Amino acid sequence: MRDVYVIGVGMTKFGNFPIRPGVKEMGEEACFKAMKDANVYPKDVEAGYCGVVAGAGGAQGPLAGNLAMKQVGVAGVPITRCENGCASSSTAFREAWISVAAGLYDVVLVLGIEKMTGLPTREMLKAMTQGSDLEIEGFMGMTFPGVFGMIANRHMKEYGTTREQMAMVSVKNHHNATMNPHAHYPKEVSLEKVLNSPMIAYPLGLLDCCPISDGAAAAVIASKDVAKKFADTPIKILAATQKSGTFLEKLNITTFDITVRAAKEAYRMAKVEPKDIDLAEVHDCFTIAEILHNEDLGFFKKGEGGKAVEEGETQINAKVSINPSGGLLAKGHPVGATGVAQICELVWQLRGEAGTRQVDGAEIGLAHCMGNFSHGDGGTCNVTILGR
Amino acid sequence: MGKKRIFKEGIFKEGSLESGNPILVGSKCKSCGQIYFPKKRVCPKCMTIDEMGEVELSRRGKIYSYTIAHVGPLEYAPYAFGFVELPEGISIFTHFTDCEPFEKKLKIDMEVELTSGKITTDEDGTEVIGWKFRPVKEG
Repeated sequence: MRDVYVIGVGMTKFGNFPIRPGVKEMGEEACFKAMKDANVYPKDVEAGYCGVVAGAGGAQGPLAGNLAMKQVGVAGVPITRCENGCASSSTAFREAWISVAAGLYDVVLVLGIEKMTGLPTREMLKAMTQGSDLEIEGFMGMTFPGVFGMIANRHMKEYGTTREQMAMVSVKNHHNATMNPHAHYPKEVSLEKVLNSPMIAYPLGLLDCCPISDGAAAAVIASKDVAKKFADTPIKILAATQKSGTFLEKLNITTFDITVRAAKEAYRMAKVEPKDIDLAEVHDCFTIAEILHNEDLGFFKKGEGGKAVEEGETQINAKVSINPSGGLLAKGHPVGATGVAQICELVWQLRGEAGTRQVDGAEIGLAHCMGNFSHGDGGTCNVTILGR
Repeated sequence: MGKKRIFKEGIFKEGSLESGNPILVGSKCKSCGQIYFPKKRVCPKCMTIDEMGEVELSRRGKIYSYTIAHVGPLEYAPYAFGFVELPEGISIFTHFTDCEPFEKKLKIDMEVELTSGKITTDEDGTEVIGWKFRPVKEG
């Protein structure tokens, strides 16, 4: 396996864009920014991978990658769509890494993209049930907020995690988002506002849930020799792992075994430990999710994730900076774009280009992305570790 | 009476729904004894196919966890769902009923029993019936 580097990243602002920009324009903007950042031209790009879900709203899914990449002149080369729910573009990133690490290509473009707004919330929740067992869970109206509502209730029962601790995740991530020009909701929220937000799936209120967003993010990766030709500060891919759920008959929903396994392999591959991670972008689709992931990734002991948030250990420049971008909760969650958007944040942080939300002296960053849920387990989990 | 249909064939023991004491039917591997619900053909532990027997599942279990959806794809809200653990060691995804207001009455580890009821309605007005669990009545 060859060493592979990220040599350029770029993304659109995430937001609610019911009419314009559409899928092609968002993809065009993200790809253009990443290619300019990497200083590569269309002729340099040997393959493309695109993460997009588009189960929702009839937005462009098939061909979205080809159409977006064509806008910036990347055409004629192999372009592959990756679909793993909310982990679609983290999957695309790993597939791209495999192709370069294996020696097939030297320069590859990765895109994540999603157009979600424009549908009533009820319709969107119904479309999202495609990412569960449609025959049983979908039929009974299981929602993703509901999945994490069940997790929250069990975590509270087993470990004494509180509603306030969960709400503090939202407060922190909204605060971080105020320093991120790409964020969907760059607005402070108070603890009271989160606790009093309309109930969505007991005990989770509206501000415990990520928004429905539009957006795109892109990255250019390259083999070691080629990376040094293009980039001043190439960022090394230390690990990229992927696991699927086991959906065991007997449940344990207060830990995502899928995350534990993906993280263990990633730490081994990168030759680092949880304590070496300076910052992490974790899949905080709901407040309780961030608490769970911080435990499962080994940053805190099982059951102590809530206390860690309360004691400020997950704030920027504290013990480990969790979701300095604002995370899914406040930066936004255009599902197919999220995986690569996490990579963008890691790269900016590791290059020291993250402005007022910069994690001081960041050298190693971790991205954690999950997609699809059934029987209390995740469908896909990607853990990616990058180093300066 | 409007039209009704059961959402998935073979889920309930024949006649049990009409009797008012519904029973769910799963598969049990004849080699290793693992129980699966809903029924399936392959046992991945033994890599055998069609070597399953049918097994009637316990009608009582304990709530493993639950939530109350105030927004969702069904035509009504709120509705409560979660997982029930059966003595057989398997967990079933289910709606909860006869326990409103849900926020006050539902508790983890609470004992519940199987019942049935309308989950949703087809476009032509047919009621779609599925399994549900409700609190065990004292006494």
